[in-house]
Amino acid sequence: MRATRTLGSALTDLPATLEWLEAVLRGAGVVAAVVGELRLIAEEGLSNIIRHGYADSARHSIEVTLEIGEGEILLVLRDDGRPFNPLAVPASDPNALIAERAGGWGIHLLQSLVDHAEYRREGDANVLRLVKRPE
Amino acid sequence: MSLKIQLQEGRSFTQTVALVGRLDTETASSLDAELERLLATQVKVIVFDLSGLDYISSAGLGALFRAQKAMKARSGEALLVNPRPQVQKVFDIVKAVDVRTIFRDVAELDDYLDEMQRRVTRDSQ
Repeated sequence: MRATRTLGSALTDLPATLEWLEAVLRGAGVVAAVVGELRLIAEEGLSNIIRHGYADSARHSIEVTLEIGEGEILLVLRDDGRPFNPLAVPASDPNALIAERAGGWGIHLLQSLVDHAEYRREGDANVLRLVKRPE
Repeated sequence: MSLKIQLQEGRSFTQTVALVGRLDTETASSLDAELERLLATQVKVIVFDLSGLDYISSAGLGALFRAQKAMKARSGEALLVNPRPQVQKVFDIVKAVDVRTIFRDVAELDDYLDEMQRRVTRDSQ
C-alpha cells in the first residue's frame, strides 16, 4: 500500500505528520518496534530539512510518502530546499558537542536505523529514499 | 503534549524526574524548562526515571545532554534509570549520554547513591 502526505516547513507541522505516519503503519499491521523506529527516522529526516534545509524564511512544503510492501517499508522525503545529501555527512564523531549543534546526532541516528538509503537531487528537489526491512 | 514530567521526592538533595511518553522535537523544550526550575534549587543529583519513556529522538537526547552538562558544572550529577530497550538502543547508537550514568534498575542506582552518600559523609568528617 502507498500513502502520501504533505507538511509545511515549520517544526510545529511535525507532530501531526508523525502521528499520521504511525497510524498508517499501525493500520498496515507493522509491529510496534518497527513503527517506533520509522517514526524516529522520519522525525530526524524531517526536522533536519526544516532546521537546515532552507535559505529563506518562506513557507515550503515537504512531501512524505510511505510504501509498505512485503518485508520492506519505503519512506520517501521530498523537499525543495537547497541541495543537501544527509547520507554524505560522516557519522564518525557522534560524541562531539559540535555534532549536536549541527544536527549530527539526528543524521547519525537516521543512518544507523535504516537498512538502505539513497539520495538524489531531482530538478529543484532533494529526494531521500529510506528503506526499512523488518526482520 | 506527549510528554509527562513527574517530580518525585527522594533522598535529600536528590530529585527524581519521571519522564512518561515521548522526548522529542515537540517536547524537549518542556524538559529544558523543568531543568531550569530545578537548577534554581539546591539539588545535587537529578535522577531521570525512564521506565515510562517510550521514545527518544536526537532532540530529546539534547535535553538529557544539557541536563548532564549543567549538573556536572555544579559538581552534581544527572543519572538515568530504567531505560526501555528502544531508548537504550538510541543511547547505544549516539553516545551523547555517558554510559556510566545509565542504571538498568532502581537497585543498581540505589547502590550507587548509597556509595556516593558514604563518600560524602566520609569526606565531611
